[in-house]
Amino acid sequence: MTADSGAMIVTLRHVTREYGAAPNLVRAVDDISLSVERGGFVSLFGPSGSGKSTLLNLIGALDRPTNGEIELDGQRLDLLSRDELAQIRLNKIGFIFQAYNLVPVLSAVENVEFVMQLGGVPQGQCRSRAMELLAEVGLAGLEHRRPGELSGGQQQRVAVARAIVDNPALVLADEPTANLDSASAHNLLELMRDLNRSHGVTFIFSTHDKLVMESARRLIELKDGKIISDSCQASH
Amino acid sequence: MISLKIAWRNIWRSKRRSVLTILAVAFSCTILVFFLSLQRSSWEASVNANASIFQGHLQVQRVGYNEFPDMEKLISAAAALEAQLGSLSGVRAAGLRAFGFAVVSSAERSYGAQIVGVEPQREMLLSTIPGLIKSGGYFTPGPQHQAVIGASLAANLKVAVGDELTILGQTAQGSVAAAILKIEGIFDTGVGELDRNLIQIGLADFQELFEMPDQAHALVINLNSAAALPEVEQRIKTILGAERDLTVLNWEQLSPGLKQAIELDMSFGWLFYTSLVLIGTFSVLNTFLMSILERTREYGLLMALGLTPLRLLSTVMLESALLLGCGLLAGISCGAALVIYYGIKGFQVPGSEEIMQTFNLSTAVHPSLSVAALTLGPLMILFFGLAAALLPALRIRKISPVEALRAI
Amino acid sequence: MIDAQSWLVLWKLASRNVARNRRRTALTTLAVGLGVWTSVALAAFARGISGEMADNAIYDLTGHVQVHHPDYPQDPVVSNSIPDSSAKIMQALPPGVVLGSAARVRVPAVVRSEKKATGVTLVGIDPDAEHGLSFIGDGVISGRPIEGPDDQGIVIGQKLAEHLQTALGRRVVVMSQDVNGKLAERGFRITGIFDAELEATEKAFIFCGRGTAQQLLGLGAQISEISIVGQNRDGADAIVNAVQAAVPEAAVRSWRKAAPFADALLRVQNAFLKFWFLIVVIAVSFGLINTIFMSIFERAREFGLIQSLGMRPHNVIVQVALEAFLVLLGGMVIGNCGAWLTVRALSGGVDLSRFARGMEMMGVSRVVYPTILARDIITANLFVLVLCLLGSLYPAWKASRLPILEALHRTH
Repeated sequence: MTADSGAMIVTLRHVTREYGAAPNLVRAVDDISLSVERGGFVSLFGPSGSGKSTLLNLIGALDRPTNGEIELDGQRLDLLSRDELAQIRLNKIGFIFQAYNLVPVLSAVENVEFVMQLGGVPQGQCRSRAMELLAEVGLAGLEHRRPGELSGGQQQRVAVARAIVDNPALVLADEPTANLDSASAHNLLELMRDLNRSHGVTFIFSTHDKLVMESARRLIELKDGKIISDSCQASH
Repeated sequence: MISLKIAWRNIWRSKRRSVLTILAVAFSCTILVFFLSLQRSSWEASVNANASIFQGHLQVQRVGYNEFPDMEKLISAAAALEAQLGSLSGVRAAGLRAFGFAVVSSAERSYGAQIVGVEPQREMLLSTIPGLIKSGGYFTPGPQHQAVIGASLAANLKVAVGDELTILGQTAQGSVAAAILKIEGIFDTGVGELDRNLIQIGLADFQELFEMPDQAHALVINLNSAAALPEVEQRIKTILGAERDLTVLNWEQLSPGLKQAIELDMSFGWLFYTSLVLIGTFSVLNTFLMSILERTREYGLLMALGLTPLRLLSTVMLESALLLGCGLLAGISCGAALVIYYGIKGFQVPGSEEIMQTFNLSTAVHPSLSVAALTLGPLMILFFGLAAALLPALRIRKISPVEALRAI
Repeated sequence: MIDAQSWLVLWKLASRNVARNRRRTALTTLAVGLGVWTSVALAAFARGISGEMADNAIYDLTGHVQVHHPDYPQDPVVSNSIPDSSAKIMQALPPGVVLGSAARVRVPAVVRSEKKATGVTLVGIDPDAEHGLSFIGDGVISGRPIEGPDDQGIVIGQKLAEHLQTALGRRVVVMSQDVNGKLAERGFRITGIFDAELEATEKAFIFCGRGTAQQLLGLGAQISEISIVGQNRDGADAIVNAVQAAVPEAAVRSWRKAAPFADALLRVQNAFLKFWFLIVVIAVSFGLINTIFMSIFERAREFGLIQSLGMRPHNVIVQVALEAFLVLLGGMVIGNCGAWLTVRALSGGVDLSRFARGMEMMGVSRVVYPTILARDIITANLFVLVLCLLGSLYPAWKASRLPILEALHRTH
């Protein structure tokens, strides 16, 4: 079945990721085929070791599959060089990690500007857009603080701002709320959902968090590297 | 010992860091060992060359002659003294010399030169000049008054072997000393001072010419081995006693310029070596410090488990000592290998031929191993290295286990 | 490849990371600074010595350029004399290049006092020309200097007077060979005693009026040499060419040929100092590279982060290299300032009287003035900057190759 790159942002075909060698061979991702449509708000969940993070890493061009094809926005990731992958990550993907999302020596606004500057956007534009987004994520007034001076929740918001600042096709978040208290987690999710709706950015998460799972419009359950369920929920 | 095993394994946990540290120490150590050997060998070579060309190992002279060489400062009963001191054990040869100044004239030219009265047979064992005769021979038995002169002087006087020279000088009493000599040989030592200024004649001729029977200015003594010098010098001192106005001089007193030149070179050397050690130490200091800071958590854990700060400190110091030790060992080996290699091949400082020749230092130096060269440099490095290791290690005493465990 | 925007980001990252760990940066900067400081300071010291040696030789009658009869250098006797072409020579040289020239009679001679005789070089001078050109211009310390080319007195060195056991006012006999090959002899009264930097100089030369010497030796108007002093040592070669063109029949040479020992020493020194700089740089590099490695691994996570955000690996190399560059720059500033201050503090001269005789042997006076040469500063700093920067590429390259995922998951 040929992917319709118009509607699908990511397509995986028979993707496998193995580590080690027999008899200690581990299949973190086992023959997964999957498509995610543009504008989606997808949650991957499952126990530790189920392959969520690995799958995210593969989609995010941080890792290469042992077998299979990955297509991102019409491009075959498995055929690209390191430099080209870096370019893809810069232009097409935004990342939000569980922790340590920000460069410690840069202030909040500088962290957000970072990806634009790497991409060669003129400084004036970088600054105004970054400020705009920080305001959008509710951090007006805190733009010049360094990560060390922000709370966990605030740091994650900065990460979100950075993730979407240059209009990526896709935002990948690996357990984004894991280190936050429930109030902050809730706020963060609201934020991401709003952005998903208003900017049309596709979000794919991995999580244990029920709150997160409940927010998602599509839930994919993983176990032992395989997809065991894939369901859509009514959008909230 | 368990501590040793633990310390050793700890070092190799960070392989690259340890290798770089060892290399740093080894590098400085190699340089120190090699260049110290090189320096020492070149000093020895110049002292030996100095002695062997003309000066000899020791000289007996009238007191005060060395500072102000006046013709009147004589050794009397010279032959007897020569017999006595020449028979001492360890002495290879002894010979008398007398010095004077005269105007030397050839058919075309006149020059002032230093006349030296020598005993030709003995000179063969006292100086290399007899072996450096370029034309003619070094005094042949015969009735005529003979002279041997330096190559530059011969060129300036425009004479060759067989030509005659007129010597015109003054005796100690003030009367005229004049003679005609036949040039028997021309020598070329490569030392400007000798080749330009020196005329050698037979001692008997000199004594007759300058009216000083059985007298001389210096008794030159060469030893079988330079190592025996202090001992023989002491013995001669005892023999001379307070009887006569004579004193014995070694190369340091005979060539104070050379001695000081060597001391100067030594001082420079130390300036360079010390800077190198300091730089190396500073380089390594940072590594030691960062290493400890990095392992604060681990130390906190160990102390929480019951290890005393002192025990911990000694383990850490042991690790540093092992690193230093490996580096020093490697450095000493490399340095020694270089010394042996160049000892055989000869080491030539590029562009230094002329300078070496002027000072009569051999153009190629053959370094040799010596205890001093192999240990002085490394010891300095060890001392500073341990100091550099100790300073950061002292912080261990301030670590509080709880805080350390919390820190990341 | 790396555009202006990326530069800004990289610069920010590099400079802030360097500032982050004050103590480590301080120590590393100090290590580099120490390296630069010792290199430049020791070089200055060594240059002081060789500079002294060269200047002594030059001031010591050699001058920057000498003009002789072609056979004179090998055989410096009275028959190898030349006409006094000083005027022609000075005309041939552009104005301001040369401080002056002195025409002299210079022959080997024997001087005899009541007690002793010794060989010396007799120099017949025109005192007006020698002022500022050579040591005899102002070197007389008792009695009076030679007052004109026809002065009938003689000026000898302090050490020579001691050696000959004579003194001011006493008579000496000077003997030399005249142009006909006959012995020329004359009595002189010692009218002045001079003092020179080196004892050897005091023993080697005796001075009289040029006309007096010409008369004694039957030279007429001929002279032995013309010595020319320019603005500095390095300009000598240019002067040689101009002068040779003006007097093609004469032998014209620079101080380098006339005092080859000093020249040789300078060349050996250049080679040695370069070698020394190299050694220092290598010693510094080990520590620098180790330190950079440690700082990289401390920040492995960050490197993973920025690469995951899209920074390409070669930019990581540039960032790390920039950090090294900043530290090196700081070290160079400290080192150069330190060396400059040290030399300033020692500008009164370093007293090496302890080694007086040894220095004398080398033709250097007891007090040495450390001198910083531009070429030494440039060489030392260049070595440090280029080689250490190259060295830093090793850890930088490693940093760029840290597997991103591994780095991200480090819980350092």
